[in-house]
Amino acid sequence: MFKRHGLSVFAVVIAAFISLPVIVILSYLFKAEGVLWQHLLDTVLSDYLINSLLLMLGVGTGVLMLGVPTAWLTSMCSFPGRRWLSWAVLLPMAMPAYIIAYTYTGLLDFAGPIQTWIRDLTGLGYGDYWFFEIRSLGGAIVMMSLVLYPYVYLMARAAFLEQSVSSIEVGCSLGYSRWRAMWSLALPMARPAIIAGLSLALMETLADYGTVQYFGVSTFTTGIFRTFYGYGDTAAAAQLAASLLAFVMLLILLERYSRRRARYHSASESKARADLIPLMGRNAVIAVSVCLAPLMFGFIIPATQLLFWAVFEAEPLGWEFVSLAWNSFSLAFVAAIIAATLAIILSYARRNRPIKPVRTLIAMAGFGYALPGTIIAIGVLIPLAWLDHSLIALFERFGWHSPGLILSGSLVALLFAYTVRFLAVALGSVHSGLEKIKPSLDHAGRSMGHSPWAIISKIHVPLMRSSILTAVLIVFVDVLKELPATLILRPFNFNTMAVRAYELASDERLVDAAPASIMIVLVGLIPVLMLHGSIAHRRPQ
Amino acid sequence: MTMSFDSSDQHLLVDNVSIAYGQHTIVQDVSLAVGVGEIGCLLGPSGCGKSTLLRAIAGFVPLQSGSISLAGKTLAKDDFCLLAEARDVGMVFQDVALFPHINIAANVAFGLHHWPKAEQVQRVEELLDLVGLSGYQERYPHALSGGQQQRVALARAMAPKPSFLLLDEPFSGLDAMLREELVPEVGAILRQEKIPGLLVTHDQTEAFTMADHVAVMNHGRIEQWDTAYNIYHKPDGRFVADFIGEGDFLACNVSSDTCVESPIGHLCSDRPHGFSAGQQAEVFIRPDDVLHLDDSPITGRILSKRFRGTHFLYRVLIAGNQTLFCFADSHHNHEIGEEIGIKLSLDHLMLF
Repeated sequence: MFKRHGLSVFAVVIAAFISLPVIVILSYLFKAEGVLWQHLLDTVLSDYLINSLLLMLGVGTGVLMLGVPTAWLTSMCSFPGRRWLSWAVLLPMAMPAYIIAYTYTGLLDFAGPIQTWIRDLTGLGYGDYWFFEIRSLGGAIVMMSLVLYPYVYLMARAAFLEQSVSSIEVGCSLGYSRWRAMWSLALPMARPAIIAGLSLALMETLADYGTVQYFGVSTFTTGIFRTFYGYGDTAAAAQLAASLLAFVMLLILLERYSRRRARYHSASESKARADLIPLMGRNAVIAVSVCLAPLMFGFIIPATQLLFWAVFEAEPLGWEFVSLAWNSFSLAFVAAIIAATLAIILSYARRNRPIKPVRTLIAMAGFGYALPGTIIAIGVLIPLAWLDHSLIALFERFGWHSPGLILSGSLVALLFAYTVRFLAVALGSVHSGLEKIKPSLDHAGRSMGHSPWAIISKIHVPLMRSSILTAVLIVFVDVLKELPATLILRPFNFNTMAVRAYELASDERLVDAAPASIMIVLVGLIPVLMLHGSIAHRRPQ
Repeated sequence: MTMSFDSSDQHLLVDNVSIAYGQHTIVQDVSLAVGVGEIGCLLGPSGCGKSTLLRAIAGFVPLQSGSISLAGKTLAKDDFCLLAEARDVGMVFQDVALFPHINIAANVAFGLHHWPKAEQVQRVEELLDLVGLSGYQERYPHALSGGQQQRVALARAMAPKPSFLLLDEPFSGLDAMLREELVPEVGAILRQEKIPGLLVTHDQTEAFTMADHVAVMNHGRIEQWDTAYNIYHKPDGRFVADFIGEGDFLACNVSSDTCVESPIGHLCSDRPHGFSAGQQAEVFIRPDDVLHLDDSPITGRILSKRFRGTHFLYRVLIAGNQTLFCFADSHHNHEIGEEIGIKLSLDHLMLF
């Protein structure tokens, strides 16, 4: 395969580049100084901290309450509709939190259909009655729980399915009732997987910008934006980002630790679960309701509302929408191709020389998936702006025309950030595809007189095609949904569907934001549908 | 050990080969030769370096020193290493390694890419016929049983008519019944096709069934390179004696060029045993050297017994502190603890 050392060196250089933004932000962790930082510390930092912690606590409780029961019911019990419900409860994953947030705002606001209906029914006026205020910390917790619980569901369900039937049977043979064996054996055995799913959901919670900003909840991400745009202080924004990074690191450690334990806890041989607990009558109704409720509130109701707005109430789609869609799709496509290409190079480097330095750097390059887009955006901006200004200085010294901000002010910065954020996703898919090609297949081909390139084209390409396509598709969809990094790094006057939908919603033009939103949701459905049938063990996107 | 071979009638020549991964030496100063139409075998415990040596012959592992040649052509020597695809050496892998995305015919034809299409089809048919799988062309690997997959792998490796075939524990993934059926069959196919080969295994039955010559390897060295008969009956060193078959070492005093005094009496060989009178030595006794005879003057107490259908294998205690295996006729069913008569039937002595 390739030139042995050349490929490793190339891979190490790529991995180092990808790790650069994180290293830049980390370097600010110990630079807690400056006037503005002191000011932030005295005034708003405790708010950010308290709100972020409350948000994590609330969303954590929410996703556990929605994710674990649904996983348990669909993997351990049998009731009508179990089969289609077991994948339909994944649908809320297609709904970005900021989109569900403004959809529900439109539904539940004072002027929205629900409150109007209540007023018409009761004859009450403004201020005469209490109604749930959606634009609050509590509202943000509910919105995020509704779209993030599938992470817990997926991990917990995989754990429940992997547990061998015999461990439950051992419990029964020792005199436990089946229900008690389930509760005292199955649930504790799945705990590491549940915690891993929980930490993934919490990473997404910390990464969220659109929802908390729209609901007016001050967290670390909104603080970073405010510091960056309001005060124009990159250093202070980076210091805030570094504090947020410390939180995320804790979650990463928790997730990795749980995953390791999850491996020890899962049975070596997994048999198909033969005996589900049959639920009849009232119990079946309860089970169906438990699974149907998050699906209704997390997907069906908001998607229907969006579709209604987009079709009947929004302004007819014009050229502006076409150019938005073109911007989004082409940007996402290019980012997906870059991520997949880099993933292929890194996977081959690891396969050819699985030595520690290469493995460690590639693992570091995979960190980005856990990092909020705001952190990555600031981490990308600082080194690129420095490079730009050095270039400008260099040009001026030679008396040439200044090139302008060719890196930090262009799509280069955006694509760099996307690659950092989503490389891990592509890497996971490509790596698992390559792992299935045992080295003995290469050797068999070569002992029959084929060159390394012939082996790549005749054996690897056909066997890897689907996992590379999966990598491209998942990165494509993720880029399409991405909001905070795009907001910070997009070139002047460059808009994507996600950014435009968010801007229109912020201007209270909820109806006009619907066409772009429904488009994002529909594209987001593709990877969720791909999960249908195969409950993935790795982090689903 | 050093060996020299007359290279004229030898096909595969491995000469003083050493292989190392970094500082760790895996194979050290190994020499062996496989003649035209012969099948050799590398036999040894896991980790002895036998698979590494095989992979070096295939061209997947570089040599540290020494040389490998095939039919007079150098495959590897010092820094020179002919690419695996240019060696004309076929290989059958332990994990079968059939390509999952193409059907059986395409798998077998994979090495025939330089052949005209019509000849490819004919050769595939010929080989599937040979391995007893004619008509399986259109099937895919996952639809075949383990034994069938290994037959296809053999057909695939033999299809381009390689000048040498390497077999890396090809039977270890199969169950005992299938192995018993497939091992002699594969040996017969190789001989019929006149393809010389080298088999790697840790199973001596496989080695004895298929190979003309067996190399017993330990810690990266060849302990003995000999026929199966000699490996069993004239082991060269304690390791070989102990690794091959069952047996016990008894301390003894050498009394003459052919005889020793042992705890079970005066034992004599029909040929000189290589030690001189007065030396201390150990004599190696195989289970089939010790027979059960009801009226023998020497007796032993049965410690344990294994019934093997055609015979009993007793573990007996003699002379107070020596234990031996003893073969007994299938009808001589004795109880544990019983004293039984035993008779030694040795025509040559293995002394160490």
